[in-house]
Amino acid sequence: MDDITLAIVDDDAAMRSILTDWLQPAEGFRCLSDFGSVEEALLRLPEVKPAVVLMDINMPGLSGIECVRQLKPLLPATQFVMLTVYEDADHIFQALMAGASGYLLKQTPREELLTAIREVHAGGSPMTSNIARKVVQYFQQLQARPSQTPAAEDLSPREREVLGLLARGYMYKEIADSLGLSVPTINTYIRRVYDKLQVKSRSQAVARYVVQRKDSAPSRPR
Amino acid sequence: MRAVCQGPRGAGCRWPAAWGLSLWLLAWGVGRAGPVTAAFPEEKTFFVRAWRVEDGTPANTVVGVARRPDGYLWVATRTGLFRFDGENFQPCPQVSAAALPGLMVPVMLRDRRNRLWLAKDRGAMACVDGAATRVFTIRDGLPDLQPVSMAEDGEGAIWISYAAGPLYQIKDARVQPCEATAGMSGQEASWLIADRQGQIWFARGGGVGVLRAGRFATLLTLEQPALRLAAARGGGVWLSDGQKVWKFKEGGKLELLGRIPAGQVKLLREDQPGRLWAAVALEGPLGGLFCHEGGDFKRVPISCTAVVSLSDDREGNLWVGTLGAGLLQVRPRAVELVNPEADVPLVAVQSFCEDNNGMRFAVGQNGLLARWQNSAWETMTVFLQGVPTPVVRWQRPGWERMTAPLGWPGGPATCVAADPRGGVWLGTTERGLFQWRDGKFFSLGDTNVLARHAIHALFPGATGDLWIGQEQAGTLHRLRDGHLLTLKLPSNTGQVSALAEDASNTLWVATTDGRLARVNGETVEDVTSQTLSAPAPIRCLHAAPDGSLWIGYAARGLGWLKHGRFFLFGLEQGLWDAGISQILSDRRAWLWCAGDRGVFRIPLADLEAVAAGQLPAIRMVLCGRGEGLPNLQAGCGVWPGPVYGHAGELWMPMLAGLAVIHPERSLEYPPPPAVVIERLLVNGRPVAAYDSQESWDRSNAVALVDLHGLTNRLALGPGVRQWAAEFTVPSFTGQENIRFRYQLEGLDETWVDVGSRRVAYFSMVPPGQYQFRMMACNNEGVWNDVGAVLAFTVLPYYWQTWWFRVLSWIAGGGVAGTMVWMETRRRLRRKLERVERQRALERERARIARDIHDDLGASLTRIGMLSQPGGAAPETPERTAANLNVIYQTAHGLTQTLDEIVWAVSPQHDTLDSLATYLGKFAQDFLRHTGMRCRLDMPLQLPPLTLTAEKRHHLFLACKEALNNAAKYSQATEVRITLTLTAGGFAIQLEDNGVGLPPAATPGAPAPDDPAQRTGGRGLTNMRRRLEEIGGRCEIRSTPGVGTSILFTVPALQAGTPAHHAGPVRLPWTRDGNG
Repeated sequence: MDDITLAIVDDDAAMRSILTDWLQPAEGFRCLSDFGSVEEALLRLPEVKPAVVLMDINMPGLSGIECVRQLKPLLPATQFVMLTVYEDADHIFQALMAGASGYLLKQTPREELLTAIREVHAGGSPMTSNIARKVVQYFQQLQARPSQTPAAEDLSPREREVLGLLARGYMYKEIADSLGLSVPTINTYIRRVYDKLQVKSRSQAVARYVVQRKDSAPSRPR
Repeated sequence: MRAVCQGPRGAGCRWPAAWGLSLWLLAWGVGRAGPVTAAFPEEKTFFVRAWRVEDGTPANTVVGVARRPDGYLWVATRTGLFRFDGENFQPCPQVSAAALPGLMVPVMLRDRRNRLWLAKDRGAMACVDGAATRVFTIRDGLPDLQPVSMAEDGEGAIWISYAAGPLYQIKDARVQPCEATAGMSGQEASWLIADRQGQIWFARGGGVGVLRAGRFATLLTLEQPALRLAAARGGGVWLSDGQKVWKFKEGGKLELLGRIPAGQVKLLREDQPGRLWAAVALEGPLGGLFCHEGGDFKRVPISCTAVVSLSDDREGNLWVGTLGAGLLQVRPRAVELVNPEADVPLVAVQSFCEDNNGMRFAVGQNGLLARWQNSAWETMTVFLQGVPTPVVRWQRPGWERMTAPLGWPGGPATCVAADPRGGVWLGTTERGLFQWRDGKFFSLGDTNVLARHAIHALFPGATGDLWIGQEQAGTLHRLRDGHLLTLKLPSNTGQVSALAEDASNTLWVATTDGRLARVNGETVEDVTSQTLSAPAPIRCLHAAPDGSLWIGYAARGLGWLKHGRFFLFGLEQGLWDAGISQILSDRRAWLWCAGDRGVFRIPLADLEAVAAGQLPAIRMVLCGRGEGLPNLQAGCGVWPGPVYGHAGELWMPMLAGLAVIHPERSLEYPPPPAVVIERLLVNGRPVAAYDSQESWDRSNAVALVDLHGLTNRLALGPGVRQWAAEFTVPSFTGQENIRFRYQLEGLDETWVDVGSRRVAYFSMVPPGQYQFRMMACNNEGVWNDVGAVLAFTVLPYYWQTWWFRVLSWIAGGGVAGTMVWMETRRRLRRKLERVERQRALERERARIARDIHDDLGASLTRIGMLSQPGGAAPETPERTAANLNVIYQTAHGLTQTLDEIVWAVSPQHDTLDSLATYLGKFAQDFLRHTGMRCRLDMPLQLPPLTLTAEKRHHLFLACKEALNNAAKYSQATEVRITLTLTAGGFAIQLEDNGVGLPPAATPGAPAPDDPAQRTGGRGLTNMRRRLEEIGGRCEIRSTPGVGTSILFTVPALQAGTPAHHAGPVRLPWTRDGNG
């Protein structure tokens, strides 16, 4: 198995060095590069093409979420994992909409961090109940409006089921047991939900951008 | 409309003829002559005005005219009774409708109590007494006959005589036939009148008598029946048998006054000034109206001869009711205008005189000399084929131009003066002086001197001297016994303009440049200094018998010099004109003056009073306008100007002709007009009317207030948008000259002069008290200072009254005050809220500070301490690892606490949804570590309830406490958290399927011994306390063996209400809300 190529984007140099120290000697990980700012990352990451990017959400200048939004189309195969001090559901949700695959708390112990990166690389998609709740709310609110996007981008019933159970506090294992599926299948569903979320949010942004451009000239796309 | 009647004018025959021809002329002249010897054409002597249907009279047949006490005239026509003010006829339908259902009124009487009696034919009688009308009919006892005459006796009873003879009496509203006809002859109708003393006279058959003590006594018997009577001013009666007119007094003799040429006298009346009028029923030029004046009856030319009634007013007019010619107003003129231009081309008379024989000469400004010929036989010398032949001819009255063939050798003439000793002096422009004597003209005086300049002034003195003034400046001649003496006037004087001789035979001379000189014998003394300080041009002089000299100035007015004292009357003293051209005293009490603006007279008493300082101004009377004459401009420039006529009249040469003034015909002093407000209209509808009862039509539903004698203040309704008053003046002389002015006291203090308009308008009269004053000025320019006053009050709308205004001001003030008070309260409340918020904010900050201080401080301290190397024991890797682990755990816990604190205070997480999400996440994480199943049952769509930081903080900690308890004591496998919405907020229920609470774990119970239970008990108390602090409730239910259920009920506010913090809370470690 190849090493998981990593890149770290964080404005805190100490954090970067700690992480690099943790990851460099770890088995199966290769730290390719680390960047101190989003701008730098935007320039260089497309060339580096890591498998996983650890992205700090809270950065000066452009935020990490924005960085993910811009980079994900360029690096569709890369998994973006957000690093955050606090588990702020709003920011995490926005990051997921931008294209992130998951998040990690910065204070996660080293072993858990490595495990989590391996899981994400392998296709795992961690989702907690509050995120699930937000995702469901988001799709429900989209459904309420007449859809401008094709129906294929809506949640399938299965996905909705999974999300609903997640929102109700079920663990992955419990969901798998109650639905008669395996945990990787659940992961896959969640991963698909993430993709759809990302696509939806992107198309929403485009539509909004177009509408805004129609209305008035200078407006910043969110 | 004046009836013009001119006598036929025959031309004098001037063709040469023989004596026989002259006889033929004689015969011819006689044949064409009329029998009336009138001095002047009659039409100019009387002023006649007719009121016909075209002028507004309701009918052309006026059957009666009576004077009303308030100045109006009652005019009765066939169609009804009217009120006449000199311009308009106002119907009295009340009376007409009630009393005159279409029958003619032959007889009308006004009694002493000012009631109007209308005797109609066929037995009806109406008595009009102000507003009430009393009707007497056949049922009351009146006979079905034609009434002939009515009279009122001394006791106020009305006597009526009827056509077939009976007499009736109405006394105290009861009709009584008169039985005492004894002493009266025949079955003929009686003619009744009441004389000045209130005694009833009758004329019946040929007998004339009085009613004495209820009986008729005949005093006189004449041959002629159909006698007519009229009351005489001086007592007794005037009596006419149809042709002759006598005066008769009881106990006196019959005195003949005069006779009518033809026809029958139908009516007699003596008016206020004392003239006797007679109406004669005869068609043609000999019938109609006659006036006895100056000794004989003069015919008054009116357009109709069927006179039905005679009445007079206070202004000297006679009102004649006719059958078909309307209402006539007749008055002998006081001022006549004789215009010789009708006969001869005499332009602007400048001099006139009448000699002792009645020969009259007039000179025009064009130099033409004319002579008035009375109708008389005249012998003239006419040259027939060169042979002087005496010719007798009959001259028609008229003016005749004097030319050379007629024997006038003088050419253009300038002035004429009559010599008191006989003869006439005539002055010419270039041929000197002439004298007319014995029918011939003689040239006199030194022709060389007198012919050199035109003669401008002639004055025959009483002693026989003739004073002559010429056009040469500074010269005065005296002709005495054929000798001409030239006197030199003071140097630098102008031409002689006027000469007068006073009672002491002193001659006064005035010149055109204003010098006044006195001539005594042959000495000329300049006395100008006695008059004005600076000489002003003098036009005329008049020496009064009392020794005064009146001086007429060209621009300074009237001067009065008496015994050395001088007084000047100008415009400030009330003089009509500052340019006086002619002055003449009428030898009674008036001074007549003529200037550039007309003829006027001044009472001499006023002049003396003003000169003595007793009166501020003179009162003067303009003359002529009332008789329809234009403003007469006096002629001046030659002397003599005005002269006396032989009959006492005054002659004044005017530019328009010769003015003849009969002073005895002018009223003493015409009364100023009484203004009557006739109608008051408010907003276009009549509200009050004069004699409203009279004019009230039954078709009018509204009864109007009577303005006649109104003393109260009228109250006019609220909202007077238009206010109009119609007024008039009952005056019958020169209505068109009457001017009005009014003032509405209370609205506008200025007097508004409206000329002759008879309506006063005001619009948008605000509420208040007013007095409307009216004044009228009559023909002569006299203002009636009393005028008419109408007091009224305009009631305000309730919203215009003072109390409403005050109330509304108070209310407005109250409203404003209330608003201010409310605003202040609101501000205070907001301030209070702000302070509250501030305090809550501070509380929150204090709590956060406390939390940070307590939780974080402790943890950080721990980390700091653990990171130090230390201790007595040697450092081992295990110990270090253990310390590091503790540090890690502490740091981890610190992060968690921080996260909770940040979440609790972040305003963006103020919603219920955020609480649900956060709680769910926490529960899931927490329960995952304990191995219990987590089941969340929270609705995805939650209402936007606002939860303050405080609420979220306490609530979260309470839930955390509950979860802790469940984890420690419940030994459950599953924890279910349910969020439900309630009416006032929401509820969170935490259930576990554990062992339940120990029975002693209730608040208030004594603390159990088990420390774990003790803390558990304390934990429950904490939960309750936290919920109470946020205003909620905490219910704990427990079933041993089944599980525990904790229910938190929280009241919540809707989103949008101001929460207890303003704006996002900025904590030092937040960066724009991110992370």
